[in-house]
Amino acid sequence: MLMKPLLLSILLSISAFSIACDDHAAHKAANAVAIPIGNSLYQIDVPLMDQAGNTFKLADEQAKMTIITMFYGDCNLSCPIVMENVKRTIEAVPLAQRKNIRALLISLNPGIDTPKSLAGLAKVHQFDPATYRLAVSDNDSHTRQIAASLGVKYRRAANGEINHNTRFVLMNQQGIIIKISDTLSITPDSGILAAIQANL
Amino acid sequence: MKILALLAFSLISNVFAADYMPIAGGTLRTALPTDGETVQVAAYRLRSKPVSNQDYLIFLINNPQWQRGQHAALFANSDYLANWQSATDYSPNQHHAPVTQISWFAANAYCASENAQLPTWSQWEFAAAADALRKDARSDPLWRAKILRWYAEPASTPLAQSGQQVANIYGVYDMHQSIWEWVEDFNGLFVTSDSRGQGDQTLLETCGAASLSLGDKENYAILMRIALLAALNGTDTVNTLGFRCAKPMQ
Repeated sequence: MLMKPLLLSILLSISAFSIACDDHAAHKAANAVAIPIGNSLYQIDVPLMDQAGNTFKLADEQAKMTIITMFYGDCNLSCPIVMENVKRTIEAVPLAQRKNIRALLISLNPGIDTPKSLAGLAKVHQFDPATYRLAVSDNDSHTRQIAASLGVKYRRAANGEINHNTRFVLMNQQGIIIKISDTLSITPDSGILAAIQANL
Repeated sequence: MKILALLAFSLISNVFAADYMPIAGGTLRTALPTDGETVQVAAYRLRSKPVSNQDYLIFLINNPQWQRGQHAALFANSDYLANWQSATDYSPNQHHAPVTQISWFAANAYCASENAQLPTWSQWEFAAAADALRKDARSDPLWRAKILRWYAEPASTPLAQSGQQVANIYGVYDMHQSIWEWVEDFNGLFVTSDSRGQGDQTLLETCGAASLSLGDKENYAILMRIALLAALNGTDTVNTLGFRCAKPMQ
């Protein structure tokens, strides 16, 4: 009785090998285009949708620098401060160089925050879509993967509130984190500003 | 030939796919209250045993990007699977012992391969409250003392095979006295109820004062688990930290 699965598995393994080889070739070809570096955030293969309803992944954020933070739409305590901080950070960059930086604000509340609600928020905060992208993933599991990669901690309470820490992450064009700030303030973090200046 | 044998082995072992035990859920008096002292846990299924070295090896053969040395630094630190002989050889660890030295990202990817996910803290805590005869044995000082003893013992390496203790009332093995386990929301266990409390946050994350906001203070064993998990990053690996997976009821 054991022989049958064994034979079958040997057959399967042969086909698996040829598939593996094809995969390898495809992988190599893909590598020629862009090699994600070991700790590049571009490796987070999680779908996001922005305030205009466009689907994208982190790897599609190709600005010279991107400032990333996580928030949620119904958050009335810390999130307005976070938004203001991001705005002031962006506005600290001279207009002529503004194209080199983008802001990506990712929701902790998939299913509740939608492209429509994000568009509403963008309007309230007068976020220019050329610079600011508000985004939400498709489920909690994907959202937690992004949070874990960024070092954002959050917990959902039964009353719908989400307790979370504040973190601003500055990512370069290769998806590498170049600066982090955990300071909740409307004033931009001096370390982040310095890193932006140094990399403009 | 070795690889052929392994693949054959993987096919056979697929026949004995992991058991997921149904747990009806209910109201849990939790050590991590958010609003009130209890949380509602919906019905779910929990893997009867932690993921073993052998299970994980099969995953690695099918997903070489997760092999030690090929893995991305974003997803696991350089100690990932450092307790294995090589990238695809788990000796000196045993087949049926829990795989450890695994990052949260790796555990996540493994569970996805079983069409499952890591249990949430509440799911883990719900199942861990049971002993062989009771759904909630936590008020029994003898039981608490028994599971607490494990934390006082130095970790024996390599780890013992899973399933040698009695299963709990759900048929789930080794929730205690074997390994530490990842949970899905490990990065959400220790957040003050008001995120404006930013200044104290770092203190709370590492300091015993945080237990002030915890329930079930007699249950040190559970509190230690929370403290460990809360101190980890998703890329961290520990030689006594493994995982099991969970699924929705249907």
